[in-house]
Amino acid sequence: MVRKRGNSADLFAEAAATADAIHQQDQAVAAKSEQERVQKTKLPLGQIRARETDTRPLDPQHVANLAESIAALGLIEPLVVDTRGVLLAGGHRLAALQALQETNPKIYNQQFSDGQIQVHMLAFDAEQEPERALQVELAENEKRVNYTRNQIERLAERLRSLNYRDVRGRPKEGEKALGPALAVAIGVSARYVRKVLSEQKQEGRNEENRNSVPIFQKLKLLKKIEAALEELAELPESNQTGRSEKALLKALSSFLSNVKGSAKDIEALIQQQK
Amino acid sequence: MQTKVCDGVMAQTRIAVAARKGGVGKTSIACGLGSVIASQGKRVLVIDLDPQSNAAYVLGTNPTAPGTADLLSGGAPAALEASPRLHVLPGGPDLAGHTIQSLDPEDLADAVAAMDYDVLIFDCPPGVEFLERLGLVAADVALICTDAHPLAVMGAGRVINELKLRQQKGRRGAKRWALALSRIDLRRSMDQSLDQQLATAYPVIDRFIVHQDSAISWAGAERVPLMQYDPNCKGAKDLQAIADWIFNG
Repeated sequence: MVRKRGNSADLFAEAAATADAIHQQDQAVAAKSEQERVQKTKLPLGQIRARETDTRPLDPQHVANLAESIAALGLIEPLVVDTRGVLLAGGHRLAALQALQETNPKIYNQQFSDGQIQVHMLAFDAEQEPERALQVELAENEKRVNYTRNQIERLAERLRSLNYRDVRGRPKEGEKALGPALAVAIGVSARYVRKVLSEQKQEGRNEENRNSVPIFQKLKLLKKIEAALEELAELPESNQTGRSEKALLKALSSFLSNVKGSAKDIEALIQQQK
Repeated sequence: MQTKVCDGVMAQTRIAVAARKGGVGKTSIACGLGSVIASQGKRVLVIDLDPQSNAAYVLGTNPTAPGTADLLSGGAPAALEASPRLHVLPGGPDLAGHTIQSLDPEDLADAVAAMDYDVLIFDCPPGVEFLERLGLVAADVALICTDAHPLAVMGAGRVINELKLRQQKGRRGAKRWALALSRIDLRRSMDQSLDQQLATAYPVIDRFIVHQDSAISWAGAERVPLMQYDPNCKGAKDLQAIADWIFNG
């Protein structure tokens, strides 16, 4: 038996109501695809902007090797950028791409015929979140090329500017421990980081000091010896003096006058230099 | 009827034809409307956003030629001439590609901003929301097509909701829209009640009836623009009323 037809107005009303319900889902999907859309997977080379500070200078040999590899194979690992196209990781690759474009545009255009470079876009703005940007840069470089002591120190400077402190023990509230963060970042032991940083500190102190100049250092030591010898001479003689000590006491006065003489010579020399 | 070629002082009119549902007559209405407006002396470009590339086909041009996808990728494809003053940019499978999907919804609006036509008509595809959105955002007038079936009404409802939402948020896109009731045959009970139902559900939206007319389907099948096929057919008159609303309404 054929079923009796319903009222078409009701059928349309039901459909219109369903459209409203599906609209909610439409909106959710649109929002999601908008979010995915902004995370582009390709950018023109000119739109990839260099970061303001690098943790270390580029190694020209490494750049040249990469350029050669990119010419042959294309860009295997995409550059990592923030939402505004600022480079987060891949400084050598970016330099290699720029070098290749300049020196061999024919090959470059073969590899990147649409002028687009593969990127991995992370959903944050490096300017707003410098710490996160630094972490990405470091994580990308982890254990790849060893950091030199100077590079570690420069890295430490940047972390200090982000409120990392090199204190022993627990950092105060709002502060973060520099040593462990640096150790994790560049993949070495915390002990090694401490060693590098304390050596750096030591050198830093010496640089400000006149003692790093040999002539001052010598004068300082002579004065020390002079003082020590005078102190020694004033001590009462022992009851049983050994042979060595006897010889020493004998030589002492002439040695002391030589020390004094040397110090005087140096002082005169410094006076002259001034 | 106005026959004077527009002198460029008048601003460009951009019309999106959308339905969300497939097979309700979007392409027939978009191309038929284009033919009607071109016959009034305006220079018209139909921009097909459908990966199925039907618009160029029904207008008698090559549907596989470079078209909208090329335009959206930064190219400058040549529009194909269907009749005097009526041109078309074909759609095609490239529209479904990843590059197009990752475009900003305003990219089509930017790409067509400097085009030298009096009227642009975006033939939106069924189902593919990101392509339909490109058209809705680039348009200043939208025509939402539905036939007399609840599934088509549902599709039209979703388009209306999207347009309303964009307008509420003050985003770029069509500022006014109307419903085009497609393939209407008033001997059928559903067709009879459709107009009343839409008037109840969407009381402030203008409605236009495009009657079931074999001239429209035959023009498409024979790949001849409607005004070249039969300028006096009922469908052409229905589309004329829509054109009047677009330019004077």
